[in-house]
Amino acid sequence: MPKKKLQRLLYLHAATPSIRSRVIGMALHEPVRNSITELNPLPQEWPYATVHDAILDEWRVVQFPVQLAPFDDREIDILGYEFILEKFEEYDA
Amino acid sequence: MLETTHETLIAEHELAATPILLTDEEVVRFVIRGYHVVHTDFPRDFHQAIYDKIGRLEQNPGDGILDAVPDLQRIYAHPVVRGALISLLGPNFRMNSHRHCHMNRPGTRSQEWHQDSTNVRHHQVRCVLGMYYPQDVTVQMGPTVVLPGTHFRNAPTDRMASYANFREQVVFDVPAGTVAITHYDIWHAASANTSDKMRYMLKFLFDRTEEPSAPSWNHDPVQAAEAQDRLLFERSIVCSQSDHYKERGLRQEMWRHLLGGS
Repeated sequence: MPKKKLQRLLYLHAATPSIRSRVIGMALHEPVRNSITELNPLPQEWPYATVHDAILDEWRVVQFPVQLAPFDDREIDILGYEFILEKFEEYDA
Repeated sequence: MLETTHETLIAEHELAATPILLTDEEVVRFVIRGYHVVHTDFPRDFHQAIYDKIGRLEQNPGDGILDAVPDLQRIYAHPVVRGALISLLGPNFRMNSHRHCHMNRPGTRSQEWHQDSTNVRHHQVRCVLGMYYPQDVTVQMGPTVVLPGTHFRNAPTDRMASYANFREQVVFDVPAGTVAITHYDIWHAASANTSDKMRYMLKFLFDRTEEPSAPSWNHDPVQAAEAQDRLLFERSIVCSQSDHYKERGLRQEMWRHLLGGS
């Protein structure tokens, strides 16, 4: 069966905008039709402690978090800083 | 506290019992984490009967679930539930007329993380959810998942759409009879039900009706002084330092309000 390279996407939510800060959330999207990415209550493996760890595993950052903080000294809103990473791998066409 | 004489009669035995109030430590923990879990000690047959009765309903009655399954009143009148509600909402709390039976069927995918309602957050304890599970909930049955400390976060639900799993999410895989009391604003979701069994969760809302003028829990000023130090130093989840500083301030606001301050 022929193969083609498809894009895997990995959303890592880190504690700060630093690629060396701790990853606190993760969502992996596989380029497979009908695959799902969802909340999983089962104990999980966390392959990367930091975004830097993922880079060492050949993930490439395609979007860095925006650092324009709202500078509100009272309110907090969304959790973590979102990095989006990609990796191309071969899949059955 | 309870809405009708009919409902009061059903829960007469439970209402006659002394409510089991929370301690300072438990209230502080609720302030920090945004939830408190209690277990009603009814026999398993009682919960099974509720489960079976819901299963026989022809359709989801929505707000009418209490009329359809009157024994639910006994759950929320149980001393551990009522005690927690009094502790968090004051002695004259009220059961909200909105309630819902969440039916998580086998094969259902997970919900996305969300906060209920719109983004008007006040960082006080004015409303809580009382989530009752009439059956054992395993991790395969699509348990409710919450993220501690997020009741202070004012986040539009569509901004949460790229989240999936958090390292420190808390899974309510709990025995039948458990009631999870959560701050109304906590981030939560039903997870995927990969089992072959229906999972019910009865979500009832409870409202504060008056401003606190004094602690409504089992308050001890000495213990409270020790417990409230945790408001400053304890992490609910890993987050940035600047978020944590702001979270500390919001916790103290919530605590002071519960104590009867402004």
